Amino acid sequence: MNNSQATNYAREITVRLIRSAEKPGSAGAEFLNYFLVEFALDHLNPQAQKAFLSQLLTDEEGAIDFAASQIPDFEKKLEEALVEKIFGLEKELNE
Amino acid sequence: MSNPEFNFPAVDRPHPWQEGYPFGAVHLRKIIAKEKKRAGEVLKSGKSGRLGLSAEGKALSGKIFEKIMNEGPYSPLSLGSFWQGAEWFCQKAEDPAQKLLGRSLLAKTGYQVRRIICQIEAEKRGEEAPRSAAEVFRRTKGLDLKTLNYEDLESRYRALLFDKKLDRVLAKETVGRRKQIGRKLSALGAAATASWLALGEKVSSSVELTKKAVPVALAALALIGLGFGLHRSSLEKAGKNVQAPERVAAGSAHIVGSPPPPTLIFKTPTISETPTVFSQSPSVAEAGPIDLPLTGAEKQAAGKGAKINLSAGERFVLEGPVFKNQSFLLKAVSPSLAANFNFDEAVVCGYELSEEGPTVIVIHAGRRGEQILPGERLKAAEKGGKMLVATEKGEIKTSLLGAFRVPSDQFKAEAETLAALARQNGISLSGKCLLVVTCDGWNSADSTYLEKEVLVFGPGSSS
Repeated sequence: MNNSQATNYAREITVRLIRSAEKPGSAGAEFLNYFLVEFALDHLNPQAQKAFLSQLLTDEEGAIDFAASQIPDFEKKLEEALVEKIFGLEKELNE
Repeated sequence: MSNPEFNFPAVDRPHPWQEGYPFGAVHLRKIIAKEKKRAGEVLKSGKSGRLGLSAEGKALSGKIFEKIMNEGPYSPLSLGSFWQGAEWFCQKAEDPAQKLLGRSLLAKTGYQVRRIICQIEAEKRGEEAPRSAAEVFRRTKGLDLKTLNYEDLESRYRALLFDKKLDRVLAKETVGRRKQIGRKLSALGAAATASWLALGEKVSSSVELTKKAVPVALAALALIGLGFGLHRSSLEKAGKNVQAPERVAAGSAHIVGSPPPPTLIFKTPTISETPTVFSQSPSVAEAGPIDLPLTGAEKQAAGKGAKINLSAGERFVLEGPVFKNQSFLLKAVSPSLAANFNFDEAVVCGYELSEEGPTVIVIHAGRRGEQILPGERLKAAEKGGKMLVATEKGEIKTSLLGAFRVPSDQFKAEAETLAALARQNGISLSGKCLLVVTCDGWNSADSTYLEKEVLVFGPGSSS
């Protein structure tokens, strides 16, 4: 598969992931939720991790906002990590 | 039993059932001819089972069906043509065993088609797929198979399979992430089982988290559209600074090695604004602008700066609150539909955005001679239904206003004719709108399908 095909395939995966995520509890929604939480945990220091997790139990949105406030370029890094993951999924789907 | 030889009609010999389905007839003939040698061998091997075929015979009928599904040309090959062809085959076959094989193929094919339709429908409704043949027939009672076409059925089925596979991969990923998070909790020394269970449940079902994550996925889609994912690792290996395209200063949004940056910045109109070209690169002016004709009323409504000068092939960016301040890279082509979209007929839909903004006209399917260009999503769309319009940099959520066919002579007309046709078909264009004609090519396998080019007109007149 050449680069252009891989890009098209990755786009297709992302579109379907987004569509899937529109349904609560779907595989797409669950994947994105865990991706978001794991990413935040990966980039927070242990103390902030604890605060993040305890807030996550009561206020998910607030917990993510908290993580975003603690991690420089949170959004940018998250987007790039997701792109990387999607290309990883693309490879896996093509195996 | 000897190897069966069938007297198929010559390609140019007219048959009543060939009318309107020339490709279907030829294709069916080709498939059956290819398999006839094998069919003879199968028939020799004996018969068993309800359909009077050996297991190998059943596999063969499945194989022929698969061939039709997988190798079917993107042409007006309809199930109707298959049915007529197969019936003709049964009538012509002199050997009772051959007749039996033909009828078995018909039965098997009919069942497969019904089963696939059931699967697709069940998936759409979130129901379980039928487990028995009886259930398949019950659910598809009254269905006219002859009104279906392979292209539509095949693409819907492929989409279904792809979604299922993707779901499996995503579920596997989720399991891996759960484990990782669990390990992190253990490392923190604060992971009582109960709280981890509560946390896991929370993360799995949280709509709030998904709401936060979906815009990230949309942004990822935009990055992928610009080839960012593929460039990133090579740039990193080269020790270069990797920067996401939209982080680069506006007007020069591109990454090393990617196509030239957008040259026009086009701001999405708000209630108080009219569309305005904010900047234009010298290359656009040099290339010679396309001066889109506007009616007097439109010029008045559009106001200063609203006249759009675009050159064919130029890229431009739509941005503004409608797009949540993201930019969408589009590509302009000539306003002459005939010059750029070589269709004899097109199926066109009008959409409006969920927030105020331009009306979008999308070409969903086209016919060029005997070739039907992809448009599988049209059938899935229902009036009022939501749909994503793909651009090179992102997706816009829209509501379908209506659909109509544009015949050959009118399709070759200018943009405003298309706008007038849209209005005639009950599609109310926003007063201060853009008309965007695009191809639904993002999920198309047909490389000739103009690769996501977008035709921009504007502003449309108020209806």
